[in-house]
Amino acid sequence: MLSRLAACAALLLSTATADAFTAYVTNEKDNTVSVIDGTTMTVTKTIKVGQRPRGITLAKNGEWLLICASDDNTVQVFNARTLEFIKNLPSGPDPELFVLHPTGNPLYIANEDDNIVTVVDIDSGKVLTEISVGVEPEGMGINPAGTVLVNTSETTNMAHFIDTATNQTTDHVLVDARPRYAEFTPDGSQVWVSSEIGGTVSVIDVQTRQPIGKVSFQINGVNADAIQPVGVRITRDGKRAFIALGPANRVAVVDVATLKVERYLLVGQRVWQLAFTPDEKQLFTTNGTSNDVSIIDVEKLRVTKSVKVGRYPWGVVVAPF
Amino acid sequence: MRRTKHFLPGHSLLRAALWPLCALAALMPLPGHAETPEWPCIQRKVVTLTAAQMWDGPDVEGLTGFQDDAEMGRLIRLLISRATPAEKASAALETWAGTQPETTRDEKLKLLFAGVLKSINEDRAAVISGIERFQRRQRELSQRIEAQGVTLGQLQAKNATDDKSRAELKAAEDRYKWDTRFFAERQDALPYACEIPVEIEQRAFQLARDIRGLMKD
Repeated sequence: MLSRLAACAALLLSTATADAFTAYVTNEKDNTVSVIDGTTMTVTKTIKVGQRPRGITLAKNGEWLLICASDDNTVQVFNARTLEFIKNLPSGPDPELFVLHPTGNPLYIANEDDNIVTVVDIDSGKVLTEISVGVEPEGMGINPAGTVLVNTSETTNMAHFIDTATNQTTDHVLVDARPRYAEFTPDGSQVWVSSEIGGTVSVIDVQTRQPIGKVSFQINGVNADAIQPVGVRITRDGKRAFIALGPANRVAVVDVATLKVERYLLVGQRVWQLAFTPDEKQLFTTNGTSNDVSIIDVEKLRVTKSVKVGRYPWGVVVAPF
Repeated sequence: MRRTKHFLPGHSLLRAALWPLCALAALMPLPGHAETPEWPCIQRKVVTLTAAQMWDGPDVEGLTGFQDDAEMGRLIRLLISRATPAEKASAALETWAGTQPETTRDEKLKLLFAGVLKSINEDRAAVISGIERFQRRQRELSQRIEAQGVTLGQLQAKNATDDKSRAELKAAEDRYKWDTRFFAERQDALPYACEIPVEIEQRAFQLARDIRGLMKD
């Protein structure tokens, strides 16, 4: 009996652990990060961070929380569990978005004001190199193998391909106006680049470096100029893409094979960035104007909840604990 | 040196001379707003909010039934009033919905949203035209300051020696000082005014979300 109880308790515990997660949201106007408990879906803590926090990611298997403090010209490192400040990393001026190498180091940071990508060793805190790219670099994506980095430049309207072995740009692909985000498909064969003003997402073949398709959007009753794609996330099975459409207040669900929109989900105002929960059953969206995050049930394609956070929520990342 | 003491305390003729330029610079239309020169805000001018921006429920285009329901009318006024805190608005909405028969509740909620959207758009349009009026007055004021700057320069050039000239110069300086300060204070208030249409839009979105959340289908 006791052993049965123990086994039952262990099972319950392991289930709870497997489902547990914590979401972190940068609030651009408040200079804070909201911490959302995945079980209760409530904000359990709000921490003060540097000025104008935007890009956010996890490092060291989720133990480090990295934040672009854009107006402080630094990347801040916090302990993701205790939320204690660990250190600053050099970032170059105005860091907006970054991506970590799949091996966990280095960190590639887009410097919006300086037309460069800064490469930083997160352990030593040293700048390894700077890579010149187009005007107003922003979107950063890296392929699963860690060999190809893509940076988008908002003003040059290009996706710049960078060889991570040499840290040199190798190819430049023209996309629609103001590219904001780059996301590789899980098999690394395509990179999806969202264009905020162009209102499209370009799909580029990574091997040939040629555009092979484009996702377009149309929402009845919503002006085309309000459809501004920004954040992109693709499911691990590579079948579905979720695209945040800014002031259209919707997330588009796109079939990756056909590049057709399956559905538009009404979330919050000016939806910006996205993050899956570790089990990929839910998707968080940051809604910059309604000051909340929406939670989407990925299987049912329904918005299940909205959680109020700070002012101008910008980036979001989810830790598996 | 002698001339400067008649001008703005702490600073100099240079500052006074630069003010009209600053004023004009502040009033230059923002890039991307060439089509709306009277619109001074960094936020894009969106005159009308549409249902599709905030609503994924049934079509509300052309609905006017809310005008025939006095109780609904009172609720709409309460909901859209910026004096009503969001929590109080949500509570009033829920109470009202709870009194509606289930068979017609969705239909009533749809009508309510149509009424909220129409009224909030009217309210917002009044705010937008108020901001544009404000901008026009600022432009007129900057032109007046510019003219005063020229007059002041001319009076300074005369290098006043008699009492009458000195009094004239002093009066011109005072007018100039007053108007530049008035202009600057109004200009400082502008970002707050520009936030109002955004706040109204936030309220509209929240109300739409609350109303939709009370509907069964």
